[in-house]
This record gives sequence, structure tokens and C-alpha cells, in this order.
Amino acid sequence: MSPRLLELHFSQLAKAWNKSQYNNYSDNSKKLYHNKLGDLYRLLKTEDFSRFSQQEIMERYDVINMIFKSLEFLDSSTLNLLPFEIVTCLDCALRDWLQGDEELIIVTSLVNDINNYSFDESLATNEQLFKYVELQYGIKFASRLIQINLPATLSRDYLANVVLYHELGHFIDTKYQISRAIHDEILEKLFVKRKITPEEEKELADYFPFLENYLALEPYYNNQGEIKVLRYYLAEYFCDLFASQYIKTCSSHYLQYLTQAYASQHSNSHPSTKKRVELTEKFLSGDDSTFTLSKIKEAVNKTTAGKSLSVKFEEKKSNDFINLVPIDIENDSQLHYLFVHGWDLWLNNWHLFEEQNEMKFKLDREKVYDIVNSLIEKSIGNYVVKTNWDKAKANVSK
Amino acid sequence: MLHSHSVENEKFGLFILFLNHLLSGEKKYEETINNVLIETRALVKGEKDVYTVNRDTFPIIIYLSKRNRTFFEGLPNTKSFDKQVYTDLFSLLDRQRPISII
Repeated sequence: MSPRLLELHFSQLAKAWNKSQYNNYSDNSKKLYHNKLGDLYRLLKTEDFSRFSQQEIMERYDVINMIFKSLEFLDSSTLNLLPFEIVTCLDCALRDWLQGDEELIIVTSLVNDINNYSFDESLATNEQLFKYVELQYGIKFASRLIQINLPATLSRDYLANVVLYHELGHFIDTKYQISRAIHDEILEKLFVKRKITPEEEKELADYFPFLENYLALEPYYNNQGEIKVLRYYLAEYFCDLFASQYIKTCSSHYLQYLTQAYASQHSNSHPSTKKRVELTEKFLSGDDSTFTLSKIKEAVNKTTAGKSLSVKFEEKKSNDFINLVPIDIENDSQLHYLFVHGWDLWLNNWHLFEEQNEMKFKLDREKVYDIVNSLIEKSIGNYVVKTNWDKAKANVSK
Repeated sequence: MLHSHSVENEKFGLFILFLNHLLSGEKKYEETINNVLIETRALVKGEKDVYTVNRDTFPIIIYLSKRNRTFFEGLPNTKSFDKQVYTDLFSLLDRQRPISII
């Protein structure tokens, strides 16, 4: 490989860095990460690529990509662009799943694709890349970026954005390798230990239809050691359960709408919406009788050193939204429940705005949409101000 | 799409590059390589399972444990290894990994 191609790659990076180097962020952790990128960029700039071996070219390729990928998300997470309120809620959920003093920063990329909600794992879970940077350049990044894509036009839509809890679930799944471990255990149970009860066999075929004739997959398993579609299905089921811990069935509302034409159909990457919703409802109702659900719960417990899948929202009864005022939130568990209030209002109680506030005119749907989103956003904002104020007061009294 | 690769591929790629450095005598890469050897040995010996082995290098550990179980069962219970072990490890990784079509 010619070093000229690496020179090309670095020149592209230089253009991107020139544009991003003065980014302004709302918090110090992003600024510190950005500064480390700057240190790394400047060290790369001093290197003479023409003298590099093939191995060094390959390594620098990964490093340049890492800076590119970081900038791609940091550029969309500046003070003016970051969808601060929803990221605040996701950050609260994330903190339930961290170990020790881990520092993770949720960053977003606003994309021009109306249905593109996705998690990009390229930086959050690639420790070896950061290790290489540390060993080669002596630069240690204190934090990692969790990269989440969301549609630019919906960045402040708090009804649709509940699905971001599902995307955060993908990070947790990848971090702890939850679905991958269950995948390995199930396949070993089927093809190595051959210890499966008829009930388990029936259920596996129900939630993973491609396992109905699983013996046909045995030669493939023996050759490849994995069946990717099983991993994908387990990951999707886990992420649905993860989200429902915080936002109840809200994510299902949107998912059912998006997939309404094929809700009973499964694909090579996703289970049918019908089965996904069914499993979530079993979880929320405390029905642990299914093999799939109990296996996922058990795997979470084992891989996360004792954390558990459990309902983490707190129902807070309130008529505040109906009265057109933000809800006064007391803790993180109530914070997540705001989305349930918002969805309930949108789906069932639209008319109460007019009745309760004695409106002499009919609210149109666009107005209700604005009101609901604004009420959720302001409730989150008020909670952030309140908790920051409490923290500041506590620091003064120390 | 011009090309596609996964983080998992990138992890394997970097791990092989680390191993190359180590085989050329750069000791600073030893810890990362040794940790994978130790974890893979623990997995095949039944001292750890798929839920408890290291999460970050999980795909590499699983791949190696299936690639040559006997090799890892025969590794000494130690925190450092001789160069032949690294050479043998390289030969386990330096080939096309199976691609999954289902």
C-alpha cells in the first residue's frame, strides 16, 4: 500500500479538523475529549508517512478514522445542536449501568433519514484502539463516546425519541456482550450438550422462527461457530426490554406504527414486532415464565456484575400537562416517566386540553404536537436546573 | 456501499497488529496479548464461562477457543508466555475467518 493513500486520508482529516477545531460544547468532558483529539492530530501531523511500514500505515488508518468518527459526532453535539433534554434522560439511564468511575459521553449525529435511529459502536466499545493510541502516542482518553444517530427533523420530538432508549440498550448489550453470550449458550445447548426440553424447543421456535428446524443449521454451526441472526434477534429483544425499564411501552407505540404493514413478519435482522411487543409486555407484567425472557434477565445479571433488568420508572400521577404546566419531577425515575405521560396524552387525552382549560376553540393536531413536546422539554429542563441548583447548594454547605 | 466492515473485524485487525509488534520484540504490547491468552485458557478449562470472560476482547476469545481448544488447554497457568506461544497464536489468527451468512 502506497503511503500516498495515507497522506490522502490525513489531508481529508486536516480539512475536517480545521472546520471542527473551535467547536463549543456545553460540558467540560466533551471539551477535554476534543482537546485530546487535538493533541493526537498534532502528533500525527509531525509524522513522515513516506517512511512507514505496511503495518504502520494500517495502524494510522485506524487512528485517523477514530478522529474522523469522533468529530462526526462531536460536530453534531455542540452547544447549539445537541438535543440536550433527551440526552440528559439517556444519560440518567446510562448511569444505572456503569461500573466504578467509567466516563462515557453520549453524543448524537443528526442524520437526514427520517427513520434512522441507530447506535454506532465504533468508538464506545473498541478499547484496543484507545490502548494503541496510549501506547504509541502516550495520549490517554479519560472518556469514551457513545454515538447515537437520530433523524435531524425529529431531534426535538419527545414522542418519537423514546426509541433512543432502545438504541442506548444496544450500547449496553455491546459493552457487556449480553446477546452474544446467550447466543453461544443456546447454540451449545442445541448442538453440543443437546439438552433442550420440548417446551424450550417450542418456545425457541416461537421467538426465533429460524430455529424451528434447528438441526438443519448444525453443519453450519459446526463450520462457522455462530448464527448471526440469533445474535441480532437476542440483541433486539434485549434492547426492547432495556427501553421498557424506563419508558414502559412507549417505544412499542412508535415501533408498531413504523412496522404496521408487516408487524407479524420477521426479517433476517429483526424479530416480528408482534413478538417484540409480546416479550416486552411479559417483562412489564412480571411474567418470567418464558425461556427467552428468563435467559436474558439471567445473562444481564451475570455479565454486569449484579445489575438487573427491572422496572426503573416511577409512576407519578399528575394533571399538570393537562393544565398546560410542566410536571415537577423529583427524581430520575420520575424523569423517565415523563414520556409515558406525553404518550398517554397524545394517544388518549387530547380532548382534555380543551376541556380543562376552557378553550373556546378547537386545538389542531400540530398545536397539540407542539404543546406536548414543549411540556416534556420544559419538565426535563426544570429538573436539570433544580438538580444542578441542589448540587451547587450542597457544595456551598460542605 | 463501497465496502463494509465491523468493529469486530477492527478488533481482530488491531489484535493481530499488536501481536506483530510483540513478535518484533516490543514488550509494551505483551499485556494485551497475554490477557487474551489467559482468558481463553480460563474459558476452555471451564474456569470462566461465556458470561464471565473479558467483555472487550470477547469475540477474539470465543474465536480462539473454538479455533484450537487443545492449544489453549495445554497453555501453562502463568501470566507470561514464551515466544513460541505467540508464534502459534499468530498462526491461529493469520487466516480468513469464516463469514457468517445466516
